[in-house]
Order: sequence, then C-alpha cells, then structure tokens
Amino acid sequence: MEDFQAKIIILFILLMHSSQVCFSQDSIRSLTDSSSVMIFLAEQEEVPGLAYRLVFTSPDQIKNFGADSIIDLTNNEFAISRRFDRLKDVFAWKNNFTPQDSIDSEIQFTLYEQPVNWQKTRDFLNDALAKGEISISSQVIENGSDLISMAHHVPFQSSKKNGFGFFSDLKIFMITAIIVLFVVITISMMLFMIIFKSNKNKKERLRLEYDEKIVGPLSEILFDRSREEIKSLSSEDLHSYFPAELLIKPLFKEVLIERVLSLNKTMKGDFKQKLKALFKRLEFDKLSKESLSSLKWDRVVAGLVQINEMDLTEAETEVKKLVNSSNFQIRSQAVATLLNISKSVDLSFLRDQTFPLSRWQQMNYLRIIRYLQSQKDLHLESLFESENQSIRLFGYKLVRILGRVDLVQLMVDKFDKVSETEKIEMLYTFEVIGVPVDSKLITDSLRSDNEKLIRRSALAAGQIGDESTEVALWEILPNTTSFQLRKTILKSLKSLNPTKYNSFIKVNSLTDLQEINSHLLDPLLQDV
Amino acid sequence: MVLSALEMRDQRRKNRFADYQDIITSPIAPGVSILAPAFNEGATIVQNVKSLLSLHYGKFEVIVINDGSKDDTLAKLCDGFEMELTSYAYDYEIACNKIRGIYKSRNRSFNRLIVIDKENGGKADALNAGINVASMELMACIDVDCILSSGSITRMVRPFMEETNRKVIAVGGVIGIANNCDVQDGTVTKYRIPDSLLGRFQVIEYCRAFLMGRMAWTRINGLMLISGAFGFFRRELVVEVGGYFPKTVGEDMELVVRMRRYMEEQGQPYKVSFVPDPLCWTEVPEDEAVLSRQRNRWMRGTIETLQLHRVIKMNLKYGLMGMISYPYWSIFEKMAPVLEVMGLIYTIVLISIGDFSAFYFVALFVVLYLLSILVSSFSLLYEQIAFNNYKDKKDLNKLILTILIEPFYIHPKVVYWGLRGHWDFIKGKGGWGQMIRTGFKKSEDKKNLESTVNS
Repeated sequence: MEDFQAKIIILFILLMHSSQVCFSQDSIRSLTDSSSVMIFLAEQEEVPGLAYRLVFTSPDQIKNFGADSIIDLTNNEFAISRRFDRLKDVFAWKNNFTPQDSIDSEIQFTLYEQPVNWQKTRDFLNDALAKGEISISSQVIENGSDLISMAHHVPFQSSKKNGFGFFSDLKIFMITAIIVLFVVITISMMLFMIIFKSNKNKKERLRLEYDEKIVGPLSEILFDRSREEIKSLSSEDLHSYFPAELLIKPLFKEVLIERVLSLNKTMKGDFKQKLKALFKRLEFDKLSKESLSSLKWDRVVAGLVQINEMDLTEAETEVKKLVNSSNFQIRSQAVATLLNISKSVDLSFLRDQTFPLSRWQQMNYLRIIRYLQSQKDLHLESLFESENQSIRLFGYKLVRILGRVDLVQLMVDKFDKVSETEKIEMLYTFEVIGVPVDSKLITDSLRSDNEKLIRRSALAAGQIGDESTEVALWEILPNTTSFQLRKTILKSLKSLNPTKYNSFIKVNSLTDLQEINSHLLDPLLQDV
Repeated sequence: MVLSALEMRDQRRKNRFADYQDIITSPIAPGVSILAPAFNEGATIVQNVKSLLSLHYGKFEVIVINDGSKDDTLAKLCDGFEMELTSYAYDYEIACNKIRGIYKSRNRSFNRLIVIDKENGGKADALNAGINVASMELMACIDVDCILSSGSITRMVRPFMEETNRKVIAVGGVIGIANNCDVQDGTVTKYRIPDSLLGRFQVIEYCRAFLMGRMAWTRINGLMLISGAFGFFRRELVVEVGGYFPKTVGEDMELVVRMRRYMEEQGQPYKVSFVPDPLCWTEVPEDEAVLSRQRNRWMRGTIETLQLHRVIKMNLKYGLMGMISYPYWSIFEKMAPVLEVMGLIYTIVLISIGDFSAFYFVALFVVLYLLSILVSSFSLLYEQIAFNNYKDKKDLNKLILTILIEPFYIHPKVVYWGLRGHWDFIKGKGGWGQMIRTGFKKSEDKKNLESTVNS
C-alpha cells in the first residue's frame, strides 16, 4: 500500500509539471495497470459513476476533514474523507494539510457509492472507453484525418449554453429573418419613395425658379432682337440673357426648351422664326438630334417633338430611320415629324410602313396632313397602293375627311379587288362625299353575306343610290331578320323612293314595320 | 408593387406626349354612348345630366335610363331638358324589362340626350336597355351621381385608339373619393380626406386597389374587374356576349369576365386596359350600415361571378385569366374572409389543446402586420408621387394613422361583412341560385339563357 502511494504521488508530480499531455485515440485502447489507471484518471474531469475518497490511517488528520467525512469509530485507526468527483481534486485537497511525501493516506475508489478496488475501477474505465461513454481529455488532436471518429469522442456541448440557441431552432430563425427582411424592405421602400418624392419636389421648385429666370430674357430677345441678330448673337450677349452657369445645367436647358416649344405653338409669323433661330443659336438642335439615339423611348420621342416643332429639316435622315421602329410612340412621332419636315412631297414613307396603323396615329397624321395639303400635293393616292391594309384604309378615310372628290374614281376602280373591310370604308367615303358611283358596287355589296357590308351599302344607297339599288333593297328586305338592318333599309328606301315606300307601309301591317315607319317619320328622331 | 410602378411610369410618360385636345374634334375618334341608369335620383338628376352633357368631346350621346323610379326623376328630366315622348322603334336586341317610352329634347342644345323610361329591373337591366339604344361604337357605363371631369372621355378613349396588335375590349377608370372635397365644373379642385375613419379607410383602399392593384393587373393583362361606376366598353362586343347579366349583383365584374372569356374562346388577341388618371369621383358611404351592405353585395357579386365562370379555373385554354387571375380572385378576394376566420379558429383550437406557441403566434402576427403596413404605405406614397392629390400634411398624418390602425379596427369588420356576403350567397339571396350553381359553360350561354326564358 505504501509503495503504491509513493509511486502515485511521484507520478502525479511529474504529470502536474508536464506541458502537454496527449492521449490520442490510438494510444489508449485499454488501461492495463494501476499506473495507467491513475495517469488516465488524473487527466480526466468527472467520470460518471466514479468518485474518490482518501483514507487516512493517522487520527491526527481527522480534524481537517470537511463535510461528508465518515469516521470509523470502531477502531479509530482510519478516517475517510469526503467524496471527490475528480482525482486531481483529491490531490489538491490533500496537499493543503499533509506534506507531499506523506504516505499515510490512500485513495479509495467508489463506483456508484460502493467502494471498489483499482482493478474493478480499471475494468469499469475500459468498458466505458470502449462504449465511448467517457472521453479522452486531450489538448492536441494528432490524427487530423479521422475527424468523424474523433468527433464521436468529443463531448457534446449544447450550443444553447454558448448563446447560439437562436440559430439552432430553424423556425425561430426563419420567422425572425422574415420579420427582419420585411422591416428592412419596408424601410428601404419608404426611404426610396421619400427620397424620390423629395427629389421630385426639389426638381419642381427648380423648374419654377428656372422658368421665372427664362421668361423675362426670352421675351426681351423676341421683342428686342431681329431674327438675324439672334442668329449672330455672340456668346457674351447670349450669356447676358441666359447665364453660362445655368446653361450648362440639364434641367435649365430642359425648361428653356419646353418654354421655347410652348411659345412656338402659340406664336405666329416672325416670332416663330425667331424662336427657331434662338433654338439653333443655343445649339439645342444638336441635343435634339442626340436624343434620337437614346435608349429610352421617351427621350427619343422628346427629341422628335423638338425636331418637329423647330422644323429641323437637316435631321430628316435620322428621323426616317425611326419610322419603322418597334416602339409605337417612336414610330408615331417619327412619321408625324417626317410629314412636317420632309422635303419630298409624297407619303411614301407612310405607305411603306409595315406596322399596323392605329387610330391614334391616324388622328395625329390627319392633323398634319390637313395642314400640309393646302401647301403641298401629298399624293394621297399612293396610300392606296400600300401593302399594309391599315394604311390603305387610312387613305380612304383621308379622301372622305379631306373631301378629295378627285380620288373617288381611283377608289371605284379598285373596289372589286379589295377586301370587304376596305369596301365598307370605301362605301362610307362614297356616302359622305355624296358623289354618285357605279350602282353595281352598291348592289353587289347588298347581296354579300357580310352584314356590316350590307348595312354600309344600304346606308350609302340612301344617299347615292339609284333605281337599281332601290330594286336591290326591296329584294333583300323580306329576308332581313336584323331589326337594325331593316330600319336602315327602310330609311334608305324612304329616301330613294318615298312614294313606293309609303305604299309599301300602307299595305304592310307588320308591327315592326309600322314602328320603324313611325320612327322614321318622327322629327325628333331624324339623327337617331 | 413593381408591376404597378412600371405601368404607372409608362402611362405618365405617354401622357407627356399626348395631345388630348386633338381627340375632341377629330373625325377619327370613336363615338361614345354614355349610359347612366337612374333610380329615384329626382333631387340631383338635372344637375348630373347637365354635367354629362358638358363633357368635352365631339361625338357622344348621353342615354339616361329611368329604371322605374318611384319619385319624380322622369318629370324632372322632361322639365329640365324639354323632353318629349318619341316614336322610337325599340329593338330588344338584349332582353330587358319593358320600355315605356323613349324621350328626346325638342331643344337642339340637348340634342345629345336620350331618356329611356322603363319598368324597374335593376342596374344591369337598365344598362341593357340603354345598350339597345346606343348607336356609337363605344359605350361608357357610369353611375349618374358620379362626377366626371370634362376631359374624361378623351382620356378613356385613348387606349381603344392606340392598340393595333390587340383589340382593346374594355377600359376601366379610377373612382376617386369626393367626400369632403371641393368640386367645381365637374372636377375636384381641392382634395381633402373624409372626416370619418371609414371614409379615410376607403381612401387608403382606393390607393391600394386602383393605383396599385388594377395597374399591376393591367400590366400583365389580367384585369378581371372594371368598376360599374366608370367603365368603357366596345358596344359591338357587349352585344355579342349578350349584355349584362341582370341576375347577379356583380354585373360589372361578370360582364368583363364574360367578354374576356369570349375573346379567349374565339382565339382573338385582346386587352382590358386601365387609365389611372383621376377622372371620376363619387361619394363613398361613411355610414357603417351602408358600407356593410356595399361590401356584402361586392362579396356576393364576386362569388356569383366566379361561380358562373368556374369553367375557366386553372384552365389553360383561358390563358392568364384562367391560370392566374381567376385563382387569385378565388383565393385572395373570395376566400380571404373565410381563410382568415379559419386561421382564428385554428389558433383557438391550438390554445385549447395546449399546442400553442405564443412566440410563433406573435412572430407571425408581426409579419402580417408589417406586410399590411408595407403595402398600404407604399400605395399612399405611390399616390403622392403619381398624383399628389392629398397635399395637406395633417391629412397625410391622418391617413398614416389610419394605415396603422386599419388591421385592428376596420379590417375585422370588412372580414365580417365578407363572411356575411358568403352566408347570404349560400342562403340564395339575389335569386337565380340554380343558374349560378350551374355556371356558364361557354361565354355565349347568357344569350341562350335569355332565349330560353323568352321562348
């Protein structure tokens, strides 16, 4: 016993002073002797189930015992210390009150409160090591490649203890992340909108400010300077009206251009020419042309509007390139601009347009063509030859709206070869213009299967029909089931031959015919 | 939010270059028949019709349909506009209740006005009566008490005129809130928010639903609803599909869905467009009882329409409308109150069985609340940037406060009213339950239905 204790103490001292203690996975496969048991236990923390007590044979030590001491009263020869869960604690406690080389104590192992000898302790430890129930206390991992097997022996420690429990619960993390995301997005969007609005307000204020600075000098130029003087204005003179530091600002230029364009719309004669001269002198025509190559359609259209208003004929080539743009706004404005500035007097660029022509475009072009046709011969008939049906239809409309009676015969010549949609448009034109045409056109159309075509030709018949169309109308009347169409036919018949019409009504007692007749006779309903 | 912002941006850019004055007198512009049903509007009918007649447009007519009013609506019209009974030959192209008479004015100043007097049949029936008389290419269905701005027709007509690749079949407009606002010559000149919380809530709703919701749907051509108070349609197509269906309270939505169905079934490319400009205003109900009836009706209308056209649900044949619009309306509009209540019941069940996590509940609640605020705030800011009608800082503060309390105070009421709508639908309130349960197999079934009834 004494030898054993001496060895233990010496070994313990050595171990306490060693710098690194490594127990690799491979080095401890099993504990064999008491030394290996003691060495192993000296490095371990608590081993579940295993506890230690010191047994003292010298009664002098009794007074130093702490709580949980057990004193054997029978023979007063030894005393047992309180329980320790770690072997290193045993030695540390023992060192407090016995010389280090004292050999009057020995370690008692207890397994689940039952005293056992070192062999049983050894077996217990080997068993626990094999099952992985206890870990090997090590400071250096020698075998870095076998992480998984080593990790198996690393004691589990809950991340919650270290404050990472938050991330370990996926649901909480996801919900929190979503909330945070929402808050961030909300704040970002609001900030963006607030900044956007603030910038917009600032821009509006600047616009007003610039407009005030522009109106006065612009009026001065227009009233005090001649067109030639404006063209030859020096830079100093120009900057006396519009300061150089303002002219370099894009917003100022934008406001000035807008003001020039708006004045151009309202003014006439010499003032218009002065505005155009000023526009060029300020080199805004270059800006307008540059806009045509912008990637943003609204900038391109703005450039086209400026070219149109300022009659920048030198930009014709660039504008022509945009006539067939895929962007509706660009090609609409390009055609409108070209109509205005084009030196050539035909509508070939419009005729050759491949995209369908919308009514919006037609409305814009009509306004320009109406203005131009008094100054130029536009060769409207070229539109009849377009491969684009919408362009052809527009051509027929132009004949009607502009009252181009001279083109009616051309339309009549084409009538038989065109589609029913075009026939409807043509008949409408003939009706409005009121020029009598070959009645065969109308009578053939009355006999078609297309109700819209029949209706249009019935209406036309009432205006420009003759006896043959009247006959055709009487022929189709009995077979017409549509109330509206019957009303139209009867109205036309009344117009063509009132006598026959009245006779017909007299002898026919059908309710709807009488109702229609009353309708046609009512003076309040003449345009209904 | 992104889609509506893109659509609004494009609309505003286009407006920069549009000369609306041109449309007013252009012979190319289409004619518009304005249909205005009137029931017991004697107090304001003359003033309302005068404002309609003064709209700035070249080719239009105003057709007022007196839907069997019990007051002096017809008498006021006849006196106010020198109307006389005519011998109009009326064609019941679309079935409607009996027409008692059609009136025109002997005063040429009111030449555009036509008054139809008929037996009472409801708004849809009155509109059908008006459609039969309308002679223009487009028709505008409005509420006679709505305030229209003088340039409203020119703006609404533009989408019809612009498109070439697709046929624009209908255009919807925004219904602004006129409560507490100054109105002059048919236009709101000064915007103020309503005094009541319910009124302010409806302002927020207007921003959300019109400026954001419908703009976004228009962007992807998925709009299924145009307000019955201000909508433009192609007359020919409306007649083709059989006009309004008078047996549903959601006749406005039902017509749009049927028109879309028709175009899909015919395989023709089309578009339902939307104009976000403030062109039309109305007084919204600030009384809870009236508002609850309105929301009840809207819910029933939604359910009825979805039921009638359930064939299109998740049906590829109906394109985006069947695959996205219909499911969206079904889940987020029709079933929303039910789903919300089910969530509430589920929460109560969880609490009672002890499987309730307060943490998750609060977290989820916070998420949904933040989402609600996000959408509403964005829509309000959106209005500020796009139109900036509500300039007063105090008004804006009140609106922000309304946004914050809406989920707690008003939304539960809206859910309740929606549930009542569901319940009333199940009870069969509104009639023609069997028809609605059966649904329209094809868009033209509505015309066949009328021929069956009339035979």
